[in-house]
Amino acid sequence: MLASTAAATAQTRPAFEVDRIADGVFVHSGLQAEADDRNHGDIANLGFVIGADCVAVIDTGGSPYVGRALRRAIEVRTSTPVCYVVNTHMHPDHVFGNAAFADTDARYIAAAGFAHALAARRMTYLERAERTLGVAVSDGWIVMPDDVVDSRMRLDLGGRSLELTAWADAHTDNDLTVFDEASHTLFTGDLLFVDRVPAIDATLSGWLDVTASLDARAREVVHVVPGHGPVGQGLDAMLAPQTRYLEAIRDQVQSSIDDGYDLAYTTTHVARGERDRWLLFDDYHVRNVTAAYTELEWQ
Amino acid sequence: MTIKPSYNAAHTDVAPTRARASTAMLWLAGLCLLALMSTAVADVQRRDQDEAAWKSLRVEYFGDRAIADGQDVVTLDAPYRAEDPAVVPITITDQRAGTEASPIHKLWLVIDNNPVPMSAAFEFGPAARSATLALRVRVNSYTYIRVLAESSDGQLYMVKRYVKASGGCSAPIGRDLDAARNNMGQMRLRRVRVDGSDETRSQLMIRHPNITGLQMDQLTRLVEPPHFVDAITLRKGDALVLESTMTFSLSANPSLQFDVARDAAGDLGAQVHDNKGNEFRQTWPAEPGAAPTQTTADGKT
Repeated sequence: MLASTAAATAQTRPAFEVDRIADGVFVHSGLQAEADDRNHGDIANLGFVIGADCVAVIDTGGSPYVGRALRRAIEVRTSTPVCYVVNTHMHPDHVFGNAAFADTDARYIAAAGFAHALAARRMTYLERAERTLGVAVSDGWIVMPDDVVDSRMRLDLGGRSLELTAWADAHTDNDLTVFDEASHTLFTGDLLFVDRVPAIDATLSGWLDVTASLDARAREVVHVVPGHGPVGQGLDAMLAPQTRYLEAIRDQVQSSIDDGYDLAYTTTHVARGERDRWLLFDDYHVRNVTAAYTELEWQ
Repeated sequence: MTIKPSYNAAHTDVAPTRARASTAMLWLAGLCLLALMSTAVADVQRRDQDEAAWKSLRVEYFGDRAIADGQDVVTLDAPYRAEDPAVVPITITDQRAGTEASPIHKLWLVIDNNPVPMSAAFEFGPAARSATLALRVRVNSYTYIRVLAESSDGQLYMVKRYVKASGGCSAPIGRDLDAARNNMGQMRLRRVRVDGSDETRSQLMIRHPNITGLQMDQLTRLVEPPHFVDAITLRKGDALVLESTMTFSLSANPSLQFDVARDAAGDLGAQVHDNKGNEFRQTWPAEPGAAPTQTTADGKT
């Protein structure tokens, strides 16, 4: 395993592509794929915002390898220090690059539920990363926040500010969005999946509620950086397909329970019409239906 | 709250200690070696090793009794790749029901690579129409799931399925643990449809956190002590449908589908026991011709 790590490091590193989507706002688009030994877990969208005094990083990718590539992309564009590494939630594809910033003075920031949620899944996440990425992992991959967002927090980057918002249980129990007021850019984290099928890790009904709250702010937002999928404009239109999918699951699972169908039958019959509309549908859909069924059956 | 940029702020390291980390890594490395061997070859080797694990379990549980291939006796349905390792639906279908063959009167559920492989044992009484069951289990790592069936003439049969899933026993406890505790022991009985036909089975739903004891809170280093349903007995009138014992291999909020004899009279009674000595009882009045969707448990629908 160590040999393969060395081999990967020795390879010529491909340039880490980032797009400038607004003045001082850069995004790296992760692949729409599962993490594997070829993509190093580079499957989530990552970003950074450059102010006069500080850079803030928003998510760091699925391995330290990806985090280091992101750090190089920042360093070739600015000598301004990274003061903050913000995590939008605790999933490995968004946080396992955190270690790449461990030797900086950056403060790690996440929502209140982040530390507990990551700690509880630590072994499972590390084991899975080692298996799927094919590299040796270490506890250094687990980086806990220095500062916690209970509801709102502002980060002053010098000449521009970011507004961080922690949400009620939705995709996970520690979802956080980042809004750059200067460019009206919203980093949604995984509260928004575009093209890639959403994955429910906390609560379906909560996610739909939070979606409605996000949608209510759509007019303030110009640029939207989803957790997965292409960057775009028009938050309400970008949220619509995901809402349709989540509502289809909610409504059809509820009908299935009302009609007396059991879990096994329901997982193979609900919202199959969505199958051709999403990437990685077969990898996550049954789990989504299982989550919805066990959430709704006692209500 | 506003945080000003602070270049000189001391970096707080809250990562676990190195000593613990390196021990964990050694363990992880060993665990993951197999997984890293590529694909099909590793799969076969892994399964062979899993079969070896069964050989010792077999002796432990069944001694030197002969075990015949059970594929014509019971079928076991389980997803090959379980999407949620903490909620893996499995169905055991009794193929002898309604035939002249010696009826199945006992079933055992073995999940080879779970912390306690012998996951559940069922004994069926005269008020059971068949030994058909469906339940939801936790799967902790890639494993064979086995069902052993004993017919009333003393023959022992086995079927197995390989299931790819991991982390089911250590998956974090639902955030609503307090709610689960407050509602603990609440039960519902419903009729469920299992396919496109009008065929129905009864489903007992039990509110219970079913804590495995392996779900460590990494922040406090506390392990929530095991607390799970360990016995379920069902009767129709005075006649036994089934009695069963189980471990935390059953998912949180245990669910059990079973098949009651059509001619069995009387109320359906459930008696549920957990490892902390709690006992929950509930009775549902016989409702001939009740609609499949009717919920008669606790006044809720």
